Amino acid sequence: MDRASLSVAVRLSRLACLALAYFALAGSTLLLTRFDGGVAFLWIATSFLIALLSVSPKAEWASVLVPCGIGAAIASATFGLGPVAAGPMAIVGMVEAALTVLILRRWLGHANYFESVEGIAAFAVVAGGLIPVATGIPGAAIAASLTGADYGMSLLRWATAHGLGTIIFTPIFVLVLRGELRASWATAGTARKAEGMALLTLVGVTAFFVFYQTHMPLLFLPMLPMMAATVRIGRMGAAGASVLLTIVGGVLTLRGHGPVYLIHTDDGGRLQFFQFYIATATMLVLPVAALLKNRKELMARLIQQEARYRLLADHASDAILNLAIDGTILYASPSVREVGGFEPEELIGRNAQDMVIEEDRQRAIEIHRRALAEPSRALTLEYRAQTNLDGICWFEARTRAITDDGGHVTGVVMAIRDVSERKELEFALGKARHRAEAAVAAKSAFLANMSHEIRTPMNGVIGFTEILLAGRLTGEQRRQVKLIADSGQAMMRLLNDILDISKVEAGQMKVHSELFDLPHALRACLKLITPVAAQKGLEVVLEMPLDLPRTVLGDGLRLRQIVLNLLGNAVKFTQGGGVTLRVRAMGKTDPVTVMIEVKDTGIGIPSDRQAAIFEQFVQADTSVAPRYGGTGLGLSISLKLAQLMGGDLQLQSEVGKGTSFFLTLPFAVSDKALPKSSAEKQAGPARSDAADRPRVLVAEDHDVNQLLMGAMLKQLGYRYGFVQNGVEALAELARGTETGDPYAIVLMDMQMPEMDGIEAANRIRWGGTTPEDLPILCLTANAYADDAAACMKAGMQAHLPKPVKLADLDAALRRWLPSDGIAVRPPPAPVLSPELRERYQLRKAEALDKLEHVVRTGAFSEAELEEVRIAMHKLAGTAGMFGEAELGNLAIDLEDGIRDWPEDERKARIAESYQAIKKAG
Amino acid sequence: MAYIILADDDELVTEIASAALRGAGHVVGVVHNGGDAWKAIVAKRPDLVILDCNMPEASGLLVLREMRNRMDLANTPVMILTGRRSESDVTLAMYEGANDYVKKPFDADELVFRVEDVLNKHR
Repeated sequence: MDRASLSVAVRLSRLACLALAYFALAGSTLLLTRFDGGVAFLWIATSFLIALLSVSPKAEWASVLVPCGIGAAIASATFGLGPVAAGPMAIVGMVEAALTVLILRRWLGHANYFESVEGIAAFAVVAGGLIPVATGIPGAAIAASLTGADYGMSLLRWATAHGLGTIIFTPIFVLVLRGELRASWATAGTARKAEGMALLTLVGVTAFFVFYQTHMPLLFLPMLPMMAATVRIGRMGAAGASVLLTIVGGVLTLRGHGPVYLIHTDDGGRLQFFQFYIATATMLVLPVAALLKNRKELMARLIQQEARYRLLADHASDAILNLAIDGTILYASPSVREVGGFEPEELIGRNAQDMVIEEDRQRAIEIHRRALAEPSRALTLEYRAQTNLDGICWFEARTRAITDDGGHVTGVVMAIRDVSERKELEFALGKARHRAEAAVAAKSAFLANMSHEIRTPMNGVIGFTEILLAGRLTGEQRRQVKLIADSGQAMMRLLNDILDISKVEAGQMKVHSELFDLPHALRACLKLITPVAAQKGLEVVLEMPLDLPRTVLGDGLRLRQIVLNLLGNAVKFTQGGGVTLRVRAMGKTDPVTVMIEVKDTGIGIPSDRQAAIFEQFVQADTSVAPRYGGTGLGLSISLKLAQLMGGDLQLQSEVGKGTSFFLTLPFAVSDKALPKSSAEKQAGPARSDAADRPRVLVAEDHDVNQLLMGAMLKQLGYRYGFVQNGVEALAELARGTETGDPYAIVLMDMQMPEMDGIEAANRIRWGGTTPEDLPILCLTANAYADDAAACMKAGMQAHLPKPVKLADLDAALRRWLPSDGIAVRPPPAPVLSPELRERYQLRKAEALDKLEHVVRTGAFSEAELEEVRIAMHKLAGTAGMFGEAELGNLAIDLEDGIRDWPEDERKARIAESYQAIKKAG
Repeated sequence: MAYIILADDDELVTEIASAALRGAGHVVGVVHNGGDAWKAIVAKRPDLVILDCNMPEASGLLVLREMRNRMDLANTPVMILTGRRSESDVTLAMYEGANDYVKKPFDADELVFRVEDVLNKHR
């Protein structure tokens, strides 16, 4: 046989088998449950067919229905109502099964009737009620017409037998046909198999026991093992138990045993009761089985999901903690072993905040509180906690609240990692930064010292060259001396630049606020640069509007420095054409922004170098330094100074055409006019009358500087005297006053032996000599502005940086020496008025009185002593301000003593103290 | 040119200090106890406050602490006046958030200088 005919033969034999099976099932049912009326009391065949159709695709229905129909017809002809009814009965049976499945499929959308309570309900209604009644109408009619039985009775029997049979047996057929029975048998363990078999056996035994006796109505008893089988084995158990109960109970009942016979009715009634009993039992266990199955699936899904999350938590490298609202640890992931050396179990139940070290606990509690308050936010906290590994470690915790379905916060989840290494790194970085800052500070201090060391000798070099230049020299000598002066000044500029940049780097550069004359400052800058420009044949132009704010508040010194640097560069890099200084105020606001433009027609800066030239030691190109000189620091310093002053410095440039620098600076505008300096008012030589010439006291310990100052003062036409230190200065000033030829001004060096300039100035001022009586100018080799501040604080009026230049000295002396009745500066308000002094004297007298009283009477109460102590306290607080520091110190001693001296010594020591105070007062 | 509240129960001290500060161009309001100091500070919102450590009603430290606890006054610069030997007061004051301190007796110029310094740093 070929393959095709083989497969046809196989198909045919399968169909024959199906027909045979159906025939056997129908026949046996008919035989076993034969009843008068030609209708079986429990019709099983239809349930087999329904199960078969449910698991087959519709296309194969024909190959199911045809053989089964034949089997049914033969069975009906053989054991049923005879050959006449065989055909119609078979057709009714086939239609019944097919209709049931079609309707259920349409209703539910699937054929899994027993997996949900809804499916079971639909199955019960359709297969157990509607269809049996519907098919019973023709079926019972045939049976009744052939047997002569009552039609109504036949219909009732048909419907119950078919409905009951379908409900009871379809589940087990479906499970068998789907292979579920085999599959669950194969996957179940031995214990489970044994349990299943035992439970089903128990159902059978119980059913037998109940139905074998006819004394007690124990019909409820089989429900217990049935339910047990359902709960333990599921649908298989429910279906199997129902079938078992039906078979055992049905057979025994048919044989005349069982509690059914306790009912006082005829056989038909008993049978119907039995049928309803079986139906009730089946409809009880089937939904339970379906519910259990759903629950089991849900559980399985949940477990799977939980396992997935647990997998994440268990394998995360961060430690995961789940905290209750009060901070109690509810869950700790296994990674707490790696992160903190804890066993997860030992953490559970502890309070997470207790593990944070004392210093960080408050923050931890705060974060916990905030996380609870803002459930949507994840908060990060770094803290230290005790661990079982390396003692205290740094941790970083991300904390987030967890909420239930209703949005209520139920706790907190924390992911914690050890950040000790990072923290160590941060600390190390911090330390390194501190070291670097200390190094910068040290460098800056070193540079300041070096500058002092270099400036002092340079003072001599530059000063004496100026003197030489002012004297008689041959042309050749003049040229050479000029070279010395230029070289010296170049060196000083370099020194200043380096100092400035190191100060900026160290963050020590400070800008100061003072009132200054803006147009004057700018004109002065231009004046300084004009001679150099003129030498190169360059035209210098100033464009300044008349309404430019005059007196402004800002750092005039630094402004000059920037503008001079820009002008100097402009002249340096321009060979032909000119340099323009253009100034304008941007708007009328206060503070006003002033734009200062320095424009040249020089070599220009290539665009790719324009940003770089603001960096240190960078010039437009490497060939610049050899040709033009300079350090490349100027613009860098200028930019930084401008930024420090709240402004900016920018440039526009075109190679070969020229460069414009734009300096913008904010200044507060002052409506106060500055006191005009005498230098501005009066140009020209100093006074000529020798007797009228003011006397200048120079306090300076350095011999070269002394000589230099002497030479300069002589040249300027002043009389002068020298002292070596502060002590001598005070004495010399006093002598000058006594002899009726007082000094008009003091030039005071900062650093002198025995008494330095600051202290000397302090003493002069405390002695009551006012600035208008005697201005003091400070000579300082120290370039730092802080020193200038110290000078002012000590009561000096200005400072002259060394090396002192003739012109500077001249200007300063002209400005500060009184002339033409113009006050040097507005006299400061007298702080210690005569009235105040009088009150202080009164206070002193009162305090002394109280003390004297106590000492004289010799007996003092604590209250009196306290009064004295308060008086001394007040005296101590003020005596120093009235030049009686010694008295103040004694008062402090006594004040402390009253409190501290032992009682037996007190009297004597107070008396002792009184003597001292009386002497000092 | 700042508005300064000066609080000290010693009138000589306040007169000297206020004269010096006025001389330097500041506007000075003087009070003589902690309670008045607090009222003045809240009412006037000064640019700077100078508080004596020991005053009736409320010490300078207490006033300072109250200021630091208030958002609107927490950043107002405060200088503390102390007796010459009260190191612990100075430490406490700096801990409580004082910007600087001056020991009595003080040099009027020093006070002015320190006031300027604190104001400059604060700007």
